[in-house]
Amino acid sequence: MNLGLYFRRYLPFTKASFSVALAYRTHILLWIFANILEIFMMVMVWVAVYSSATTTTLYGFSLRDIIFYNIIMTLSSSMVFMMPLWDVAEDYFDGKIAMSLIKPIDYKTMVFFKNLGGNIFRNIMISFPIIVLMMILPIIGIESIHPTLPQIGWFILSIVLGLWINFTSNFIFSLLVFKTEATFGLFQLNEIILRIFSGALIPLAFFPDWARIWILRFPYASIQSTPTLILLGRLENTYFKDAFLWQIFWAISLGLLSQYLWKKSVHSLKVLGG
Amino acid sequence: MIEVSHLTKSFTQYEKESGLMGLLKGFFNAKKKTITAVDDVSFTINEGEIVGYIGANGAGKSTTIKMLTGILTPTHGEVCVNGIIPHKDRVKNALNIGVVFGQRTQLWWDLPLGESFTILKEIYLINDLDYQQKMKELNDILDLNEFIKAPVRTLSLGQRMRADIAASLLHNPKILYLDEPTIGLDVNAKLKMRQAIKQMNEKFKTTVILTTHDLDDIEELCSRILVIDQGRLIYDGDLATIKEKYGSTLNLHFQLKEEINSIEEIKSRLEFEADVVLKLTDLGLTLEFDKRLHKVGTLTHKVMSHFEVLDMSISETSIEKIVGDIYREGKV
Repeated sequence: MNLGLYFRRYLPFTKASFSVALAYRTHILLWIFANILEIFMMVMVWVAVYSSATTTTLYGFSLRDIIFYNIIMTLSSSMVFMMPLWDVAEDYFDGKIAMSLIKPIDYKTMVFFKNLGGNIFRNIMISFPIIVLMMILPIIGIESIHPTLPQIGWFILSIVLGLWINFTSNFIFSLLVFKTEATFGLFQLNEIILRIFSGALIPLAFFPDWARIWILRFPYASIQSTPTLILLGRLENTYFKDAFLWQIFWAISLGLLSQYLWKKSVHSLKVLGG
Repeated sequence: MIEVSHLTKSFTQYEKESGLMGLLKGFFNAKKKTITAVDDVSFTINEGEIVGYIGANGAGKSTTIKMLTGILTPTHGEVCVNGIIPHKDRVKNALNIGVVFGQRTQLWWDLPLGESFTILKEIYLINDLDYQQKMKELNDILDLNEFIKAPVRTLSLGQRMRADIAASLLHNPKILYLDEPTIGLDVNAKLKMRQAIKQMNEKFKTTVILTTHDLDDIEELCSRILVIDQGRLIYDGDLATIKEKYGSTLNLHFQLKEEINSIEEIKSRLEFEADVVLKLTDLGLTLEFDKRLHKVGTLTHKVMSHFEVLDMSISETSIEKIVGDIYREGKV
């Protein structure tokens, strides 16, 4: 299909979800507060870890490195943020999915564009302040990170791939709602897997070698860890190529898999109510 | 236009026993149960027809509509709508059809009504000229302009329903599915809605399939009806036949001052012809009779001259009852 027509058809969903996000101000403020609190708490934990350690660096990270790691991780995770699980579950439980299916649009694409609205909002509220903070730090005399221009370029590319992998993997999870009807359990499971295997909780370098080899091959490492490490300049040349190729591999294969599973699930769909 | 043959849809449901022990049992060993919502249904609908699709709650009407629109995939049988198999080519089929589910809305709840139409215009890729002309036509029939700027959540049910119908017609569909379009509307709104549907059918030659519980909807709009019960199609034909046989029964309810213990007591005091059925119900004394053979006035007068009446009401035979009657007899 013509790209212009494609965007014309789906962009209204992005606009609509962005306006809805704007409408719930208190919700957003609480949520930003929770994010700040979380970074603060993680920093406290790491300070405690490093003060009781016998060396100043752990697995190649100094305390300063790990603090920046956490901040950039927050940046990456808000840039790749996608939560189709909620949308699919809501559509399923109140039967709204029927209203989407009578429209001449692809449901998965629609959910993607809808999530994009929330993603853009999150970037304005969280990513943008973090970037500004990183740029102000040197001015007030604190040493910040110094990504090179190519690093920033690769970071953006890696974020785009991460966003897509995050969307597709979460969408595949959300299809389990049709079968199990256990939204909250699925949400929790997805969150925990994501936190551990994406490097959001601790850098993947902290895992023992045998585990790390496998974790790096999982799609979750491709979501946030790879772009974060690129921006921090922590991926050496060989690893960089590997990590990037894994991202491309997962972006394509999860894209195809989610499409296939959606086709299968929609045929066994029960529409609740009415 | 629409061809359906041997259409069947069954669902698997998990049975849950009541009580804590039952729930616990179900947790470890859920009992599966297959429910057939639509069972071997076949029919053909031609272009420009308005067809009433009736049946009691849970008879399988909505499930059929959902298969015709491509939302659900049939377990067995074939559907062909305008040369397209809906569940295989859902998006293509969606361009040809308009759907209104009376209990849901396709409008954006928080946005002004006009905004919803603009979004739909983009989704269906309608060009500006066609859009303006269509909006004008729809406004003539449905009077949308008086509330086009109001957010959808502030509309009355009647207004929302009119808006929903307009939304389903924006892209000039060849077929319109209306699933209980008059549900919850007051008498005036119902009248308006029926007029609109009729005009639409005449003006745009739209084929309409309508499910309803309201006998008047059917009477006003449909020349042909399909009756479904427990998933099976039990009648396909014109309305006149069915009405003549079942639709002429009236019920008169009287709430009496004195307490009546047995129906025999009344029968001994009121001497009615044999075809007037007397019953004691929650509403008091109920008279069931054929309105072509007896006059309401005569019967009322007779009851009132023998008893002191506190309250009275009249009810017509419901679709459910007609369907029930047909079902008991197996055919018309």
